[in-house]
Amino acid sequence: MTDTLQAIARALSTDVQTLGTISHNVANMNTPGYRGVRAVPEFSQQALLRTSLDQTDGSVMQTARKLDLALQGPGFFVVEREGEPLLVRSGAFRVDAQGQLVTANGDVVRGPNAPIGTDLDALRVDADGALWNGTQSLGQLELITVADAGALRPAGGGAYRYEGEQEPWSGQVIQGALEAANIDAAGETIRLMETTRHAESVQRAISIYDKAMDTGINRLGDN
Amino acid sequence: MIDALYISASGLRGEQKQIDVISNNVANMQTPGFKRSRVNFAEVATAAVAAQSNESELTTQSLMRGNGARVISTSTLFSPGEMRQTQGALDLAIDGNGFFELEAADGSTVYTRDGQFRLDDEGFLASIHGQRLAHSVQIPADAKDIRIDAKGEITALLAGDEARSVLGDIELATFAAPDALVSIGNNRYVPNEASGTVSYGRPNEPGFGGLQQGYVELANVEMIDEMSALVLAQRAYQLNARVLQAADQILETINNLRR
Repeated sequence: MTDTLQAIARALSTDVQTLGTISHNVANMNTPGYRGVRAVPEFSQQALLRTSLDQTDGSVMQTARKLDLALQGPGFFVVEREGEPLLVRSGAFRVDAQGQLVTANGDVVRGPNAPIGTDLDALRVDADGALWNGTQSLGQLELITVADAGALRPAGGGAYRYEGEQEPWSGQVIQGALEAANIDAAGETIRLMETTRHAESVQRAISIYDKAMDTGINRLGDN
Repeated sequence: MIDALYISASGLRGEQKQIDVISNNVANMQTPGFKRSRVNFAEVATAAVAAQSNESELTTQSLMRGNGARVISTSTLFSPGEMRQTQGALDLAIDGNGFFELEAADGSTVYTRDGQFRLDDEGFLASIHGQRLAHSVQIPADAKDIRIDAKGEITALLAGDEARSVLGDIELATFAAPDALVSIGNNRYVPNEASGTVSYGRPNEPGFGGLQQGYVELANVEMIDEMSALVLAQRAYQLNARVLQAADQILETINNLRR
């Protein structure tokens, strides 16, 4: 008998978690390179919901800044945080005090074989990720595609840990642009409506079940 | 409890910051030497640990806990602004990455791109806020036809002389990471650890840029970019507010479960 109540309560708890993912997406609407999170029902014992990252490309915003790089096609930049390789999608890079190419978060971007230096006028990044200062090669940005997007683990600051299969990279790099978050405002709004209304339906279900129980316990046998 | 409340609040805070920065950029559209700023957002997320699940299960199932957005930094974008001709003999624009070094009243040095100078009471080049250009040269009061060439050499015609005499040079400063310079108002910046130490050079050397006398550099603010960023920020703010309302609504539903 309490099974029914528990099942209904679980449905409500998934609604609350879904709302968490929607709010996370909406809060990151202006975060470059952000990947949307979707809550997917999970029918295993461990959890009610599984999260998956939406790997579609975000739109490209032109910024005309030399160190803004947008990725198109599946794939990530490889950066290093305290010696550990991490994957990032946002290409809002800058040069640090040592002349190294770093992310906005301060993680060192892997690839350049020489400091980028202060003079960025001649810096060029080709579509395949090759770095040039005029005619002098500065190396090749390390770019990878992950085979199993489900194995990406967030490491904070828009970076992911990944320990799975890699695939050769096949996208392109666009210099002077940033990739906008791949969040669709209309889609999130619809999911939001769906979730709040579903929560209301669940409430009705509990309310009606409660009434049925009330009848069963208190009224049965009354004359 | 409901994370969505705090998460959408983080989004609201971020968009608020974005609107603040945009309004500062737009307010300074006409400020010579002003450089626009940009807010850098990052997502805050952790991999949730499913305590009851065993190791092998966890690897096949992705569980992520989003905690909203965070403003990592506001960085100044030192892209060049347009040059406007002023005919002022002491208006200097830098056509490159250099900065003018100014001496503040307490002896410390500050850096600026604003090249509107004037002569102070002792004949030194000073900014319109009264701070002297570092390593400045004294220009005699009777000097006429002051010229400053692209390499920073100051020449003038002194009273009684036929030929022009060289009075001195202007030096420029650069930083390894100018994005990280800290703005202290009045178009002035100070270096910190992140921006690296200052290096000096003559104008027109590689990486410093030449001087242009009779020009001022306008703000590098693009109205269209700012307006479109404002629209995006405002709509994102609204959507975050909607999510906040929805979270409130779900809380109310939960409170009324047994209605």
